[in-house]
This record gives sequence, structure tokens and C-alpha cells, in this order.
Amino acid sequence: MQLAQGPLADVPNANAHWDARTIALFESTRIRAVTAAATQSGVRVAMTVAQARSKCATITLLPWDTAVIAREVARASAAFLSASPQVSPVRDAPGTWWIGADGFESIGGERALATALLALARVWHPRARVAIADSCITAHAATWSARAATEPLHITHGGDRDYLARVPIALVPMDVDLREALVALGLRTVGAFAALDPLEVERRWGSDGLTAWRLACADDPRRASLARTDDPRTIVHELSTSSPTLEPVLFLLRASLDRLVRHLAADGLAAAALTITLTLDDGRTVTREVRPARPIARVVPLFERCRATLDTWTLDAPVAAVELRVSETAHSAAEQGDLLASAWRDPAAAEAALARLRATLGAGSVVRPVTRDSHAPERAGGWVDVEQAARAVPMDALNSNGMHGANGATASARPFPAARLLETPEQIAITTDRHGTPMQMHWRGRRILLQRADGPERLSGEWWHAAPFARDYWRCESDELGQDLLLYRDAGGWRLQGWYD
Amino acid sequence: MSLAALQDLRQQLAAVVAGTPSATPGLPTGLSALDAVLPGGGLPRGRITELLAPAGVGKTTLARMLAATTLLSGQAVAWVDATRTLDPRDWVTVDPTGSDALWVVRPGEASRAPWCADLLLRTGSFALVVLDGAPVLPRAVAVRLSQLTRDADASLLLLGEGSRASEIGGALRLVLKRRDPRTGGSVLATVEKGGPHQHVPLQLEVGHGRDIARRVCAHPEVPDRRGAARTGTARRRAQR
Repeated sequence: MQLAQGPLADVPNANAHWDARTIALFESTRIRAVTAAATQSGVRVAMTVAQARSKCATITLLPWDTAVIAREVARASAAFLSASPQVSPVRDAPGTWWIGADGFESIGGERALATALLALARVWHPRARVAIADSCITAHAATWSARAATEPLHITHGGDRDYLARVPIALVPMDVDLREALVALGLRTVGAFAALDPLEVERRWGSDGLTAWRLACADDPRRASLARTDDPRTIVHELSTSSPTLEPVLFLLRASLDRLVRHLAADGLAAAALTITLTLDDGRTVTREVRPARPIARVVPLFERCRATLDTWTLDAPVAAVELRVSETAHSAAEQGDLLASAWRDPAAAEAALARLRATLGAGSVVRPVTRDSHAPERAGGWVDVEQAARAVPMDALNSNGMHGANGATASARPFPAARLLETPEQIAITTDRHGTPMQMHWRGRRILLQRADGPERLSGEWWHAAPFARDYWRCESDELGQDLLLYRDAGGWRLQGWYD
Repeated sequence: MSLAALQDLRQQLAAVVAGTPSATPGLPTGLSALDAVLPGGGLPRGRITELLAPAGVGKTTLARMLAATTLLSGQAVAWVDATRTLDPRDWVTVDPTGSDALWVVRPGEASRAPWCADLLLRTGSFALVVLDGAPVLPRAVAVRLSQLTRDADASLLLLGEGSRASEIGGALRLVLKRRDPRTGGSVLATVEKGGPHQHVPLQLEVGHGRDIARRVCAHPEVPDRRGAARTGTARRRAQR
């Protein structure tokens, strides 16, 4: 990798190679990359800028410029493509490439490829290293050996695990906490980690631990693929005529997503965040981010999320162009559906549907029931938004209401009846006999004869609140409606609260 | 026509009447008598089922039993409450798995309910989608929902009044009617369409299982008339 010459022209000792000068790249307030000379001065990655200056007063600090680095990586990748068709810059590690070495038997074999790559790489850096192995992790580990500094290192086919067994555990990419835990357990080499029982590793450190263990066993899913020098993460469409609605934008978004997701899937990646930018007719641009709950590499759920965002987007000028960009990616999750498990459901699809429902119908449209501390039927339960709902009822409560058996395995044949409650009890006109028993009901313009009336049941309370209530409840049956109605009378008159069904 | 050919024709006819059997067993309703007459041993998958009954007969109770049984088997249920009249207290304990597998969707307008069902079926995540109290489905919407139900191998249950049946091709229609409990069941379920025509008496308790008055308190605003007017006075008066 070669940094841009412009910023380096003013640094001390400008004729020397950049790696021989004390230079560090910083992002925000932290050091993100350092040269070999800076490392020798004690400057390390993740130090603060002040700490770096305290270690080396003459250090040259340059800002981390993603665009410059991406351009240089693309140039180096293009050079390597002359040696192999499969060239992948390593994500988050500029300066490292995975290069495919299959199929070179008839044109000199892997050693010839390694020699050619080393010659190309040393144009960019005099101490570039090349190693060839069956897996990316072994090749990467081999570049750290002393021999690789002088010649390309070749790990024999099938020898990855044996080679890795001797190397320090720090060369396996893993979470810092996991590495510290392994070191605390006395594990110093990759072989010692690989010798652990995988079940035990999974039990202690979960899927992250198991992934690291697989890498320690030279089971590395990373592979070299064709390098791209263009930006496959952004697609821009210009509308032939500006549109006052978002309908045409939806069609363009769908097509863009198809292409972007195909590229992502080819790289083994998923979209963690998308950015939709609309260019309006008056030249303004407006941007919204779409962030699924988990990284997804499928078109339909992503499109549903985008559509949910567009549904809530009010335009104040016609749209002239739309840009869709995958602003953040992540490795594809290993979650897998089970054809034989009918209960399995795609969480991404469900989340996308939830987002769409909430965007279209408003928050509170997808709800979960909760009980509340009130005696008034309309306030004794409530619906809360599905994203805010907490489980209000403990599991053992399920076995006490007759709905489920003692072990929760079977449903009872005698469930309690379901009630229907009007959102607001409706005022009704009631004709009573001389004892005050309801005989006729006038509701929504209809006269309903009540054949049976049970009551009254007195319910009152909440006098400690602003709105106390005192009601006499009646359960009335009407042959005409076939309904079991729930009426009450309070100081405001008669009301219909609901019915059983 | 030979006897064998006649037998073959009868079998073909029976298969057509019973509808195309899904490879997946039906969703048990929790009532073995009803499951016995339903194709697939329960609510059929991949088809629309209409559950029609006047209010008060027990269709909500039956559908809630079905939802509870489905949730108990670990499958997800979505209930579109178009009338916004479900009582949340009845639903707090319905999801026995505690895995958030029950979604209740309450659209502001009943006319949006079919769209909700459409969206939920498209996810392929729900074994049972209940469309409760939606307006009668236009033919185009019904055909689309039918297709989505088949694609998702889900059950779409339409709850409606008896007089509002929609003419959905291939749907199973189950009609509930109230009957005298002394004749062996409070409700009579009839498979009217989409399966062998049968009557099944069911025992569903509607309207007598819950106490309203959990707190009794003397209050001066409304005279306390407990005991002054009790059960059945209106009926006795009518008989006289």
C-alpha cells in the first residue's frame, strides 16, 4: 500500500520510505494505524493522539482518509489481478489481500504465483510478505514468520492445522475478552485452543467462541474472490421526469436492492444499514437511513423496510433522483431455517412486516395484551405496543386459569369465554320494569327485547383517582340478537360495555 | 359404467368435495369432536376457513382456543382485530410459550384489515392468521389471500356474522349455531362448505365464566339494589 504523496511531502526525512518514518493515522482522537518506525517508538494502535505524542514527539499525525485508502487499495488490487483472477482486499485491514492460488499447476504452480505476487507487492512496500496455505488464517499467520520476510512461504497442502498449532493465539481473530480469558487459562498457542472440546467452548463463550475455535482448527470460511475497483454498494437512478409521489421510487429501489443484495451475497455479506437519498426537483437532497434489526442479505425484507420508511416520508417537492447505498455491512448470519420444523419463522421477514405495519397504521397497531391494576373492565387490561411490551404474566399463571393443563401440554376443553368490549362504553336507552330490571334496550337505532337479565352486580372504586366509578352491572340475553350483553348503569345513565362471544 | 369405474369416480368426487389435502396436518382446534370432522384433523393448512356465527354464540372463544393450541405447539399466530373489541384480559395468558409468537394487529379502520392479513401471510412466519370482523372480502382480495395462504401453507381464519359469508372458492365454511344445552352441547357446528357436510355438537361456555364484580363497595351516587332484582324476573314476567 502506498499513501498519497501530498501530505507526506512536508514530513521530516521525506525521501525515506513511508514505513521508515514515524507516521500514524488517527480517526477521531484515537490512533488507527502506525508505521513500523512509529511502532518502534512505542506508538500503538488505539492510543489517544496525546499518548502517541508523549511516546514520540516528532511523530507525524495524519487523519485517516477512507477515500484515499480505498483508492490505493483498489490500485494495488488492480496490480495483483495481473497475477491471479481472484483478489480480495481484506475487510477492515487495508494492506492485506486474500489471493486465489487454485489452478496454477500448468503455469508454474503456486510457487511461481507467490514469486510474482511478491514482486508486485514490493513495488508498494519493500518488506511485503507472501504466504500460501489452504486457509486464509494459516496464510495470514505464516506471513508473520521470520522466513516470510525473505521469501514466499508455502504451507504444504493439508498442513494448515499442524502449522497453526505452534503459532501464538494472538494471530486468531477473536474478541478481546475471549483472548484475555484464554490467556488467563494458560493457553498460549493456537494448538492449545484447538485442542479444547468444542462443546465446552460453545458453552462458555457462545457462537463467537466457537467461530474462533473453528479458525484455530484452520476451518476458515473466508475465500478470495474477484476484486472490484468500482463501488458496488451505491446505485443512483435519475427519474426521466420528476415525480410528486414515491411510487416510481419504490420500483427503482426494488431494482437497486436486487443488484446490491446480489453483490453482498457474493461477498458473504449482509446489509446492516441502507441509506436512501432523494434528490428533489429544487436541488435539495434528503436522506433517511434504514437499519434492520439484524443484518439481512435478502431482498424482500429489506424492501419492506425501505417501503415502511417511504410510507412515512412526506415530500415537499417532486423527486428527481434516488440513490440507494449500503452504508454498513456485516458478515451474513449463520442462522438457517429448518424445512422439517414447521414452527420456524424467518425473523427478518417478521421484523420487516412489523416495521411496515407500524409505519402504515401507526405505533400501537401491533400490540400485546397486558393486565392492569384496575377493577373497571375497560381499564383492567390494555394493549401495549409490541416493541414496548413486557411480559406481564408469569409462566406459572398459565396453569391456573383452566386454559392449559398442569404441565402446559394440553389445552382444556372448557376455556373461559371470550369477551368483546367496546372501546368506549356506548350510551343506551333502557326500559325497566318497576323493580328496575332491564326489559328493552335501544342501541344504535334498534329496539332490542331482553329476555333475561341477571343483576345487579355492584362495581365501584378508584375514588382515590380523579374519575371514580360506581356501576351496577347487568348481564342480559336477547333472543333477537342471540347475545349475552354486558350493561351497566351509573350516575350518567345506562351504557353497553360489550358482550360475550 | 363398471363398478370399479364408479368407485373411482366416487373417490375423485370425494377428494374434490373435501378440497385439496395439504401435506401439513391441520391445526387442532382443541375440541376433538370438531377436529374429527375437519379435513386434516383440524383447521386445514393452505386454505381459507370461514367461521360464521352470530355474536354471542362463541366463535371468538373457539378461535381463541385454536390460537392457544397453535401457540402451544410452538407456532406463531397473528390476529387482526378489525373491530377493536377484543378484551386484552382474555389474551394475556393465551401465549403459553412466552416467545412473543402472538401478534394482535388493531388497524384503525376495519377496511385495512385484509391488507394486514396480506402482509402477515407474505412473511410466511405465521401458521394461523385470524381476520376478525373485517368487511366481506371483494373477490379479487379473496383470491389473493387464498393464494398467499396456499403459498405460506398457513391457515387463514375469517370470523364473521352468519349473514355475511363471502363466496371464496376452495374455502372451508364452518357455521356455529346456539342450541339447547340439554341436547348434548351448547353450540352446533356445521361444516357447510369445503368438506363433508356434518353437524357436530360442541360444548362452549359463553358468558357465564367470569365474575364482573370483584369489588363491592357502598357508594352514595347509585343506590345499591343488590338482591332487590335477581335472575330471571323478565323471563318470568314474559311467561305470565
